[in-house]
Amino acid sequence: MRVHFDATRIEPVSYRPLDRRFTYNVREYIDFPKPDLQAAWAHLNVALIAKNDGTGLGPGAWAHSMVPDQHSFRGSTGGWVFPLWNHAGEGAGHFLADGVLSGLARAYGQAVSAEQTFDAILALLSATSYTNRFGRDLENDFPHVPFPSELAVFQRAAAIGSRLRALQGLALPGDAFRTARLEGEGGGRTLAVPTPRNAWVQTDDGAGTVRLTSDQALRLTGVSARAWTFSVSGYPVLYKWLKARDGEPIDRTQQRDLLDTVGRIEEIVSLCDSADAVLAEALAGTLGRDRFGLPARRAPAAALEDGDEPA
Amino acid sequence: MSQLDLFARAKPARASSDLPDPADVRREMLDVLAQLEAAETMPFPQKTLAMWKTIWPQMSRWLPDERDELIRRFDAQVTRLQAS
Repeated sequence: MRVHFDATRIEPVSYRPLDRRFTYNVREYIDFPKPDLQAAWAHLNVALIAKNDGTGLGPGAWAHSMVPDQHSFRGSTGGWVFPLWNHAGEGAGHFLADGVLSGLARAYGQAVSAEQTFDAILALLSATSYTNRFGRDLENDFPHVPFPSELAVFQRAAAIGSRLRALQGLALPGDAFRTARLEGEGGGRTLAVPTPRNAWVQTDDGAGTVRLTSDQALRLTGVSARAWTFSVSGYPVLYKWLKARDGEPIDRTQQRDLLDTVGRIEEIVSLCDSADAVLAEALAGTLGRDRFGLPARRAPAAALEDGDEPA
Repeated sequence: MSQLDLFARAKPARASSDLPDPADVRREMLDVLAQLEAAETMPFPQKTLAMWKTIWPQMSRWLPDERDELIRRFDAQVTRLQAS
């Protein structure tokens, strides 16, 4: 079979967290094209990916601003994709369930946008302690969202989530988070990252160095331990990013992409800490399911006291 | 609430208003006030009361002409019931 080549069908996709790849989006070349997802995605969207079981340490959800691989949440066993924008003419413009925005607006005394709500969800589920705090619930359920009863807390969550969404959509990191440096000589060499255990070595400044070539001629320095170990449900983001490029030439583009990726992770880690403080504030006073017209939960969350969370 | 509950599933969210109806807001707030005014002891669990204390002044923004009066009546009832 001959298939006409169409260069316009080469499209960026969110392969894994912070790992953009390109796919040739032609049916004959794709095993699982996910037509429903592609139709919902349309030309421009952003989506949360979450799992209904087995959510592990790290953020409880991830935002993708390019069509995601369904396994992009952690690299295996899939995930659920929740696009935000609904481009169907007859729709409300977003995929948030009926009652969510009006319920929030009712409680907050002012209109709440779909984007703000998406961002607040992303921030609350990304809080550093979220997956620890609710680990037992996450074994067999989607992450639950504790919408705060106080408008100011919601707004803080939305602001953090907005930046998280940008970074997870590959926006450039802030200068304060560009602490990593490349040291040594990479010219003519290829990336050769050792096993995770041996790749990162702590240095006197408290950060660490990552060996990028087999002869250690090129090293990545100033990588914090938290950035190195940052993972999404068992998917070590920085190590996997490097490992996926093993054997590739370390040219200028590769070096810039690497430094951008480390910076993004450093900033995301910091934002997850900020989100943690907001999560604590949110849990001190939440809106119950009844405020959104939702029926009571089938079973109470084991890790929570009754009323600690929006049921 | 579960992530799954927050997004429309089989069909796209229909084009309904994302804003509350002030008449519904008024009905709910007056219903809460009626419960408080009829009670001899606090009818709400502590967490429910805490929620109302937070969202009452926020919600009342939907009813600007009645806002001050709603807040005054709510505060008075909470003070009375917490003293009982």
